[in-house]
Amino acid sequence: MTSRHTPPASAEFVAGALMPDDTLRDDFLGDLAEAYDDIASCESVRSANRWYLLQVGRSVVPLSLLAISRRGPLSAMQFVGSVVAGVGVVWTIMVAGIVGFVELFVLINGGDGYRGAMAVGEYLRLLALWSVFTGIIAGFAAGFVSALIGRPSAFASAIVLGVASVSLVVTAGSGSHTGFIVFMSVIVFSSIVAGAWRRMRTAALVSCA
Amino acid sequence: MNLPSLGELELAVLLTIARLDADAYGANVRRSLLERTGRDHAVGTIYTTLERILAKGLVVSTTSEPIAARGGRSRRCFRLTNLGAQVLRNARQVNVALWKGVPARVGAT
Repeated sequence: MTSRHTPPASAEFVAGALMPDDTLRDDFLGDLAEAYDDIASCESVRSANRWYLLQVGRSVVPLSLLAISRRGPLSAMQFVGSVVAGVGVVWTIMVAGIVGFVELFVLINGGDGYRGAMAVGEYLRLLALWSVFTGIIAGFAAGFVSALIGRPSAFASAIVLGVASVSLVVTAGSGSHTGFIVFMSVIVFSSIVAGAWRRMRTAALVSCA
Repeated sequence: MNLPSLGELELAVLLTIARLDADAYGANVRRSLLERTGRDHAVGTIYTTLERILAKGLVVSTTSEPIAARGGRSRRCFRLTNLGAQVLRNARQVNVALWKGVPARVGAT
């Protein structure tokens, strides 16, 4: 009896969540599973795992473009709309969060701001920490919103949204490389969650019908 | 009648489908291209190309029953249409015509 190698469930989950098109998903995952088994049998499971992740990464862009081109102008508009909505969410949360923080601080310190109760350095450290926290929340919310609107490809929307947001921050002349990486990761992670959630919802609706 | 134009990868995929016949599906097309051309295309790239030639009417696809070796997923097989065969013949004729008169030192036979 020959045993069959199957890709790690987590990798399949990510591959499935990243796939832009429902009709291609099963086919794509099936082909990946078949090739994974070949490589794991001929080489090693580790090589197969590496190959699998590489394939998923390399396939995202062509498949996203394919999904957008397949669904016509409405799809392209949805895509642009999702990015604009995502940038809007990022900036609303970031601005509201930081302005709220400063206002709250002034309120607590009786109108004197940081000069009243806290050293400048300490205040700025706290503000930086708060900015990171707000950034993570904003990235997650924006990625989710963008992925839900950007029907053709949740992942592509998230990538473009991340690049757009980071570009806006860079042109505004602030931020750090680590901050950008964290921000992009949060947006992409959020889009994966949103994509998976949407897929499960669709599957539930199909099974009900 | 104007025949659809073909890119390099589209031509390679179409020829592979013609050769694989009933076994022409995504993973097999990719494997076959790797063996014959030495180029390791991403599965997603092969899918994009398959979808393009499908949209051009050069191939048709059929979905198989679920297969255990694919984790219970079905397989989408591609078959050349008459138009696809005609496009291949035309591509070959163009190729032959272009090679005519090329000096032997370049590799012409």
